[in-house]
Amino acid sequence: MSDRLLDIFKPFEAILPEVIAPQRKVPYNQKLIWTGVSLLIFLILGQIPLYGIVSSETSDPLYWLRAMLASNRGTLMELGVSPIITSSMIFQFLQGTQLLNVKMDNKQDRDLFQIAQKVCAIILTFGQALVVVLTGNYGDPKNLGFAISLLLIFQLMFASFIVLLLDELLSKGYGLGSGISLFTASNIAEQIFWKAFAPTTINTGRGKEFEGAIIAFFHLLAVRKDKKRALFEALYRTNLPNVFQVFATIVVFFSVLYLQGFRYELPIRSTKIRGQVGVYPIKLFYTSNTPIMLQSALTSNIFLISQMLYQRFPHNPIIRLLGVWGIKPGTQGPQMALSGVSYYIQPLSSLSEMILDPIKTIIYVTFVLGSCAVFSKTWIEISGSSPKDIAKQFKDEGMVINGKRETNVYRELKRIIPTAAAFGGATIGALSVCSDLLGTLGSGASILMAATTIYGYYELAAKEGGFSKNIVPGFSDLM
Amino acid sequence: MALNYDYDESSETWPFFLLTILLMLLIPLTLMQCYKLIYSKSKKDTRNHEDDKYSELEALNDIDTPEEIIKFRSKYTSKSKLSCLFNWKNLFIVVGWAVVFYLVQRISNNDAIKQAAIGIFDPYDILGISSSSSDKDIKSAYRKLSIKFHPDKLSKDLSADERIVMEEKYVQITKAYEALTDETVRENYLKYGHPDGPQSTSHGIALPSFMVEGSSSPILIMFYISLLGIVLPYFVSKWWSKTQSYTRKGIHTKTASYFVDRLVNYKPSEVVTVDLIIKWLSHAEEFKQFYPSLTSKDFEELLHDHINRKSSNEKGPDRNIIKNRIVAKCHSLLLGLLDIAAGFRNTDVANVTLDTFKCIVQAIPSNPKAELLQLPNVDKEQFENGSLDDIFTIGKLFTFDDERIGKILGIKDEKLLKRTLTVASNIPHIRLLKADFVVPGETQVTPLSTPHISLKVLIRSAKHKIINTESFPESMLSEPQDFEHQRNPFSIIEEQPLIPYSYSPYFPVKRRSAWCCLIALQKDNKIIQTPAIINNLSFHNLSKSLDKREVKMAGKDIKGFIPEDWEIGTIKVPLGQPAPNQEGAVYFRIILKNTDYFGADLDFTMTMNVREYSEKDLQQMREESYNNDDEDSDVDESEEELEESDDEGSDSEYTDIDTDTEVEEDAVEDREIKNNLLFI
Repeated sequence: MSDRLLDIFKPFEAILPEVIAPQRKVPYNQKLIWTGVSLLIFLILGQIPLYGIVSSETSDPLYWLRAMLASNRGTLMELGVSPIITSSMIFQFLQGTQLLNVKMDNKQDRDLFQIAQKVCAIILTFGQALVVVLTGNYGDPKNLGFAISLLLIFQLMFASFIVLLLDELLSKGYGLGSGISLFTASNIAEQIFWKAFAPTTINTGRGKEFEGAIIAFFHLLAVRKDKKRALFEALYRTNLPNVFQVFATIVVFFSVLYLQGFRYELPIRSTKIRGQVGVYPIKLFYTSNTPIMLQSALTSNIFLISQMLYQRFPHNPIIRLLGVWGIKPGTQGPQMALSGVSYYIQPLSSLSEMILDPIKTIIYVTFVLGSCAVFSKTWIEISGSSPKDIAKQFKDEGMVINGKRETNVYRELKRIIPTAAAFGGATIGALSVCSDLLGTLGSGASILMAATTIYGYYELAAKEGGFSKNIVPGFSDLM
Repeated sequence: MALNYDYDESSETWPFFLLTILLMLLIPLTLMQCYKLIYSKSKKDTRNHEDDKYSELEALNDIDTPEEIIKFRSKYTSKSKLSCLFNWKNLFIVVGWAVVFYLVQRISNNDAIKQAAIGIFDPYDILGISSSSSDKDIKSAYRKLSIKFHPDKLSKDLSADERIVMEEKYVQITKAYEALTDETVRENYLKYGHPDGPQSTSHGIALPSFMVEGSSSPILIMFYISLLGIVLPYFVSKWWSKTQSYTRKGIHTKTASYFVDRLVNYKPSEVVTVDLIIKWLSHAEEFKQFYPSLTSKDFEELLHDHINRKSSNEKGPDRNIIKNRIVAKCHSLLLGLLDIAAGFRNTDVANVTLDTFKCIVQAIPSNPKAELLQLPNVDKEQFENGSLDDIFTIGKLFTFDDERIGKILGIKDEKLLKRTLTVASNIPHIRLLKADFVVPGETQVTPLSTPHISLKVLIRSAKHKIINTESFPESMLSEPQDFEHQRNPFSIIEEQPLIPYSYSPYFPVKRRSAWCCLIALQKDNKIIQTPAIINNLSFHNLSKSLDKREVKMAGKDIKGFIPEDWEIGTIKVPLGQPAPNQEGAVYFRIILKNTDYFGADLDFTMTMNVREYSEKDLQQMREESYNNDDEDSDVDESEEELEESDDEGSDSEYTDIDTDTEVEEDAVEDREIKNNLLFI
């Protein structure tokens, strides 16, 4: 049954363009160029406006996801990497739960698996493009006309397809790391930089104020007469990014880097090739940033459904229990959950809120930490990195834990991996709560994501020899 | 998102943008340069201190260095010191700070900014009080002002215009007072910056208006085109061609392909000599890049002049400087050639390449007596013709008393002779104490395991009495066997100090020597892997006085010899390939050659005994691992030495087998990466 499922995708093999894997190992410098060029193409795609848009001034329903999906409103990158991520998540899930039987050691199967993922991504792109255009994101489809609507869908699909190929190019060994994480991380980094250094100004009656926090710091200090109040405003202004947020972002970024280094090193040796002794590191962030991604996906879906239901049936007690929505008194801001379950799982917005409503604080923190830990533990089963899978991998490659019998590998791994996964998930949850509280530039999850990706790149570059210079002692330029 | 952006007409904001960006670049850069300046100074001090121990030879080296070479060195080093101060980075820092000061000046003189500041509603300013004033102060200030400006209290003789201004002022004062005392007005003020609630907002962008005016737009477009179309591709392609035109060993690809071509066309019947290698070197692309007007024939001549210690100035102007430059470059070229020769598995070429290395470093033609000719002050004619005995080595030389040595070498001056003897006794000689094939974590070499070569050597002076392996206690020859050492067995090498500067007065650059380790299979005498280069070894032993002409023997022991005072060097060379699949013995020829000194080489045979564990061994190991399972401790494999033999007198034949414990970790690291990319 499952084999037949994969075979459905066989006819696409001939049609779909594919990046041919490099014959030889690509040297580091060449990889650097490929990665740079791909990133450049991606960034340019993110700046080209879609042709045929009437307006993109309607409220943005996908705002909270934009940073993580590397998407830019009203440009060719409207969909970002979301179709690719969704498709690869679906297939990883299918494979992990054994619903789809793929023999990864069989080249034919592996190729088919990739093609299936690609086809799925293209279908998802079409679906999403259709939804985006038909829901009137770019103006009422009736006003746009059939031809323009079709053109818009075509543009979106074309751009997404380019991103798909770029990602394939990078992950097949021409570039460093995977394309998706590169694109996402650079998008997040771009936004953080914009918030810190934006040259745009806003005048709301208090004189011109810079949007970028650090520029505003200098500007306010120079322009305002009362330097003390100017400093205070630069640090804590609420209407625009402030310097305190910049510091918070830096702190969170470095604490992620610091925690990345936490690992339990399992001494291992090869039984097949004697003399191969090494360590198998089990990281604290064993599941990387997946738990926080899943957690934010879960909560945002709950919010979306709750909000929709509340608008339809504002008086139904069960729906009211799920969440009561409205504008918080004293703010003009977006709709917030005012009570109900949604209120308690909604991120804390400030320290004062945390102190004023301790029950919410406790419930929220417990919820985030708990759900992250649970997601993390579940994810290792789904993604094929559970103790059982790793033990099997050890056995296939003839690895044993140093000083332990072969049969003990599973026992030992079972002792460490789930603990590491759960604890790591909770840690990343805690970091996310902290960064939301401190009010970092961008959401906590997106900063965690950028930090882990950048650290991954650093490790990769170090491994490929990007930082090592062949320094011979006593060497002079003349030699 | 704003639909319309106002450009910065009155230069209110863009200087701030530029200022911030500049400061963000300048502050870290300046700090870094300052740190570097301070750090490099203190580093120089520590280096001198560290090398004090070995300064005897270095000092002699400096004394014997010809005037010309010193001039050459100072010319190139002083240039690099100057360029250290006047480089692009420092230029950028200076210009950057200048721009910053200009901007600050401009901002402080800009009336538009002051004008804009006046327009802002500031209650404290209107009331003329400081922001930390108490409620009482606010009230009294308000009272005072309102008395002055209240419409009812204004004097009658004011004109209508003045009256309006005054009334306006009164409204402002009242608003300011309310903004500080009334709850809702205060809220409005804090949130929107104005007591009346939100004002109309306007968006701007910190770009000076002249950048977007019609007249400058062609210039701007030109700027963009040149940036994206010319400057960026130019720098990328320059960087790219630079990385492409040099091999990983740092030699030009054209030179490398010439060497490869020579080796492909190399006939086994051909005899490789130092002259041949020099001929090959003279075709190097690097030389042509330095001096395009000269031909390879000229370069060959210059290299020959160098090794014959002849001046080349009569052949043309500046020839000596040219000579020094190309001789210095030979270092990289020879190492590159060595690598290529090893790739062709050609032992002869590799060997002679290393001989050429010595010849060029010491500026001596290839000669069986080169070991003695490398000493300073030797009268070549008298040495070669005068003595009847055949003396080829420094070791042999030290069997005679000082006076006789002077006669043999043709040195009459006592002072000069003393110097020569110091150099002779400081030239390192290497003595093999123990050689093993080691498989980390195992007691023997099993089929398909990954062993490495572990050598224990004694760096000694030629004048020392020969010390045998047995004289050292077993503990000095073994290494810690914990897991960290198994994981990275080569870490122990890094702990040894760097090899000090060589005695090479004729080489244009001060240099440190190194040992190159060539590994060949005994059966076909072909090199099996790229040569390993050893840079870390302690020369501590050379300062010991254990003169073989003076020490006395007490039975088998040497009087006055304390093994703990001596340092034993460790050389470890990874093997490029795993042990063979079948059991049996494999014989290797190990050639350990110094790059700088004649007479500091080793050439010996090692046997790798590959065998599976016998039933008895396995039984024993199982028991051990059961014990370990319970205790959860590291495995300490006991070292097992099977055979050892040492040939007295000559160092050339050496056979030894053994096994130990240690690593390689690439395969493992791969898995780690997989984990990192889990999310995707």
